[in-house]
Amino acid sequence: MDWQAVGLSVRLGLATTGVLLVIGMPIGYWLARSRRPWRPLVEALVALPLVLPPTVLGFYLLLAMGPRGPLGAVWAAATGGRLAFSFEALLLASVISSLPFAVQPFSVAFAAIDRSLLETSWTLGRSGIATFFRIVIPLSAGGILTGMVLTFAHTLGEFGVVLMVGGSIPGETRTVAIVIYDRVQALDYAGAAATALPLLLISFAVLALTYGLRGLTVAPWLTRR
Amino acid sequence: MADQTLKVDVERRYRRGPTITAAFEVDLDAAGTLVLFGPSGSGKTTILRCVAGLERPDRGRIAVGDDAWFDAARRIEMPPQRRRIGYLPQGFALFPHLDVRSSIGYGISEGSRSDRASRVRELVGLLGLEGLERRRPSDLSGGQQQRVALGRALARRPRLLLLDEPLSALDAPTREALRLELRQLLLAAGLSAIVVTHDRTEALVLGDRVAVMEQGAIRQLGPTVDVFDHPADEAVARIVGVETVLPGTVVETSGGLLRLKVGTALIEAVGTRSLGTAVLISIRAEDVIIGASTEQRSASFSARNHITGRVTAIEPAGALVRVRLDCGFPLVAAVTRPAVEAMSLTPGTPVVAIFKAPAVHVIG
Repeated sequence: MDWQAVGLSVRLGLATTGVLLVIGMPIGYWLARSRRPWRPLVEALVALPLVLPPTVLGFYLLLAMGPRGPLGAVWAAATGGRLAFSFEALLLASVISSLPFAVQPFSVAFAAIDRSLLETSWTLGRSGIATFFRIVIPLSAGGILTGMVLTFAHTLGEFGVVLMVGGSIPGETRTVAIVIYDRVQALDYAGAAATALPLLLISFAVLALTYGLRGLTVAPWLTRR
Repeated sequence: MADQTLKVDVERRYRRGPTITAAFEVDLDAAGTLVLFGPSGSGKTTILRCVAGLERPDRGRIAVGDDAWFDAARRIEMPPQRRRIGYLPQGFALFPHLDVRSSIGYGISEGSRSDRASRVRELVGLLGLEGLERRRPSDLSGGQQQRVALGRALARRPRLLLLDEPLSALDAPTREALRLELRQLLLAAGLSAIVVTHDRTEALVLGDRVAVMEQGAIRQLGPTVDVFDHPADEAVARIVGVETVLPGTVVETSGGLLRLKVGTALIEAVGTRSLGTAVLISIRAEDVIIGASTEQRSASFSARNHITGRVTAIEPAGALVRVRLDCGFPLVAAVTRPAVEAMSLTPGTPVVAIFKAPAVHVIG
């Protein structure tokens, strides 16, 4: 049981979820409300990680994050350090590869809100941002929670992208999924199982807890009729 | 004192759709209700939404005195937040996650916490919602929901109320009961209001003035009774529901009175037209009295028109019954149910339709 790897995976999952909560909600809201002609392009871009093999995504991210890649160069100029094979690189890659898992549930939940509720809030003197916090978020609680859980679970399970941009540095980029892969490569099936089982249990527990909570208390007005 | 007249003169064009125009004024200092009345699709809601700031007109101006809410030429568009309006959308749009107290208090942003709470209590009392403060919309009846939505709109002391079909989301008995109540509430609030409705009775009950809209334009605007009693043209007459609109010809004219040939009957009306003029006449069902055909006629009534005919159909309509008659032309009379029973009216019963000459409105 590699607790360091478990801790790193959980830390990465939480950080990715946090980042996507902040940037995913505006993107989701924009997708739900916009009627711009180029909205389908943004939609496609967001959904791309769903269909692209993680190694393809990881490959491009690695190129971008290398010392000569645009992201790597900016990072080096700003911090003096190397981006590729760092936790930050892993986080950035996770955010991008989990983007649809957060944005799509957010967007679906936002789109389901009756526009007249928003309009009424505006006529009552509340700004667009106040309306977002007082009306949109409470009424989308279920969808937001779903997006967060999916993001967290997907980040825990992500392998291809992590392998490409993170490598396997203990405590820095060596996540549970990588550990399991390494153990199997080394024919250490017992070690792989010892790491795989907690991951399976954690994932199941998180999902079960979420669905349970959503049905009970988070948004009673969504279920009560 | 600055000019507090809301002047609206706007045009909204829809691609591959209708163009909607409206021009009217509302005095925000004087309590009173302007009803935008017309069939669905006539553009009433669009105009209301333009005033609310939820829809942008393509041309025109909306202003209170010098304070422009919208001005296409000067590219001014005041957001709905700053127009200080109370808006009640179709179906009320209550926030499903907020209870009655939070809903009513939603728009109050000024004053201390206790000021806000007392304002909410005041409205809860005014609207008779005591005891329901902690209920969510899903636990309220339709009538209660409507009052919560009204309270929410009134809470921040708007200078203009905008109500979009305020009663149509309710079932028929509730609607009936709440019509007068809403009227009294509007009077009690002492506010200017613009009410959109497609319901004739609502327009009659709620409106001090009515603007009749059809196909994206105001066809007639004036005091409610005037508009309903004197529709400006055939289209307005059809919309305001004057029951009988018929073509006729002037066959005799003397001293401000007209004798018209309508169908096979002759009727008297007030007006001046030259002989032979083709006109339209409208007679409101409420103005027609039904007499038993055996009754002594002519001399015993001041009403000039006594036309024999027979009942063709009897249709209940709320408290009244609409009795369709064939008098040589189709005519509708609105009478009470007891009257129908007392006279044992059934299809085929011979009757006399009695109505005064001034009740015949001559159009054209």
